[in-house]
Amino acid sequence: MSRPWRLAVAIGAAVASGIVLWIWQPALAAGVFSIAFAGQVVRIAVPYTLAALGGSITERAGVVDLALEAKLLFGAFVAAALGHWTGSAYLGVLGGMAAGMLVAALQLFCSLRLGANQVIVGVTLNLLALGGTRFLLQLLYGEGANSPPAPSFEDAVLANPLVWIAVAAAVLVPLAMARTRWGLRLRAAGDRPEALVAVGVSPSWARAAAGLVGGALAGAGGAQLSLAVGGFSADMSSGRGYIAIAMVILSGWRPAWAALACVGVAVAEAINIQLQVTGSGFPRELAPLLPYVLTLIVIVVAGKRRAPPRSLGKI
Amino acid sequence: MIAVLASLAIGSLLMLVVGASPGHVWWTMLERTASDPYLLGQVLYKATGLILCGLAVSVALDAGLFNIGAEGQLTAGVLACSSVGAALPSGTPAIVALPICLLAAALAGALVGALIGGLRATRGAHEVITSMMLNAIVAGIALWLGNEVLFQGGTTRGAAIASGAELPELGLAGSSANAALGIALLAVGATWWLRERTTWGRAWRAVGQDPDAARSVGIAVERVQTIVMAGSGALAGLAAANFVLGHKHAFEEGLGRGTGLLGIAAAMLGRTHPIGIAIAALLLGFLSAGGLAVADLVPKELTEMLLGVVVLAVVAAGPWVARRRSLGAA
Repeated sequence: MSRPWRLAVAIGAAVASGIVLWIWQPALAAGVFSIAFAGQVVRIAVPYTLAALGGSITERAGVVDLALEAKLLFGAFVAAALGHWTGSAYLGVLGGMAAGMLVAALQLFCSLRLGANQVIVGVTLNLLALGGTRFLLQLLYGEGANSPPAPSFEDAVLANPLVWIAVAAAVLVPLAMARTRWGLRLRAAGDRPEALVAVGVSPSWARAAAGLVGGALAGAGGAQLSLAVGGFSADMSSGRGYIAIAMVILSGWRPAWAALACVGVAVAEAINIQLQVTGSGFPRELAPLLPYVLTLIVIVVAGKRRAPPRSLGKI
Repeated sequence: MIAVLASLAIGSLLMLVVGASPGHVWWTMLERTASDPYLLGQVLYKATGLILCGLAVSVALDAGLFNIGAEGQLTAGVLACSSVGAALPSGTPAIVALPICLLAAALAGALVGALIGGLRATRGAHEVITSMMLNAIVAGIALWLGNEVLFQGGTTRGAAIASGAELPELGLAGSSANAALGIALLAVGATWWLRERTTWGRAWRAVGQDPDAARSVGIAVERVQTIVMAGSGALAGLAAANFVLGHKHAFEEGLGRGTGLLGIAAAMLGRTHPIGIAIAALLLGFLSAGGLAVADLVPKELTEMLLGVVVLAVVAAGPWVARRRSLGAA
């Protein structure tokens, strides 16, 4: 199928499913087509979008970014812990970004300096973040599952700085990647590291410069997870990092499209919450699987259309 | 070696942070586990599941695939094994019941694994992502089926399996160690033989080392990947024998949870060598059972974190050492 066709089919399918929903489940439809629902979609989309934008940057620079899950989780933890300690959600946001950068630094050190397999490093860091945050919970608060309450942005949308960070990033990341020296270098590091060497720039440093920014964005996404509900709980990222990286790949490593795909995931997740609120006959154990099933279906249908960065995963 | 030493050092550091004396904790851990047959049995019980899941991860890794879906494959195995076991008439002799249940567990795991491998082979879908999605999906489906049909009135436990399908316990002071350990060791042997002694194993490792080279000598790379993933899933599914047939004798919510993820650690520690994995699984089993034994000295979260540190150290130290060596030789 050509591109305009595909777009038409996608829009048609969305409209058709909206109509079907209206007839089949009026109560659910009334919930879905509302301002509150839109706000919910935005809040849910923020962690996905920030993680996917961060992942796009890291991967375009040539580093496989399966550690997004770790960056979200650790970012969420540090944001909540710092928020609790200082009483300021804004400092929590900064802490989350720093935490994401810290994970990214560890990831980059292991894969670029030590030359470890990048896929394995990513998954291992995710395991480490899962155990590490639980350990820190125990160490700091004497309890292994939840952090004490942190200041929260609650249901705010326009007053939530993380929403604005996400919007700004969705606009600026594609622009910066296309138009700035930093963007040119990171794309070169991912596609043709030889070219960077030829002009006297170290590909590893260009990758590190990209990866740290990517880590900060993903960490900010993690901050939204804990600051939206005012506290951290173990494994609260629950696979979002993997969904985000799936969206990066599906979008063909184009950050703007990845961000858009993440909004789609958020819509699916928000519908699932509505389903539980309106209490339709849909099994409550299966409803949370919607984003996963959707991602899987999209992967199967879309297949692999665009090539990854040429030097992805190689050093 | 470096990795193990580094992990010991980091582990000791962590213990200092929580205010315990490292030497005392390590020693107590060893002493309590070695002197208590029940704890020893628990180490073996944990190790049994880890051996099978570790093998599952490493078999895939040998073919260049990263199967983090052992968790979902194990859950599928648990579900199939316990449902089939419970459906068998109660008088079924062990000689019939056991193979059927084992087959069901392996088949269910293989099905999930083959799906991941097939998606990778035909659609180019990254196996890490699809297996992560499937982990969540299988867990959700298991919970749903449990609530809808399996769980017995208000509990999170399904109907008991036919007594013929039960694996005997090893009789270590009432611990959960059971004859599934034998199945795990058989699997170690079989995997070792396939991997080292058959042309088939050669082809499968060739695909992992260099898919392009493998293709150019006439190996159907995609087919090998799918088959290997199915085999990997079957191994993870078989781990259900340990949990269902050997210990709980029924479907239970969350049975065996975490074993699939820890299997990744076992595969890394064992360097994808079957015998190495068996040793690594024992070590990890010791850490997690021993971690409980010293729960009065250090929080159990410390051992969880330690596991992550161990794996990261192994992952990072391997290539670093290899590089050092090649630099030294040059």
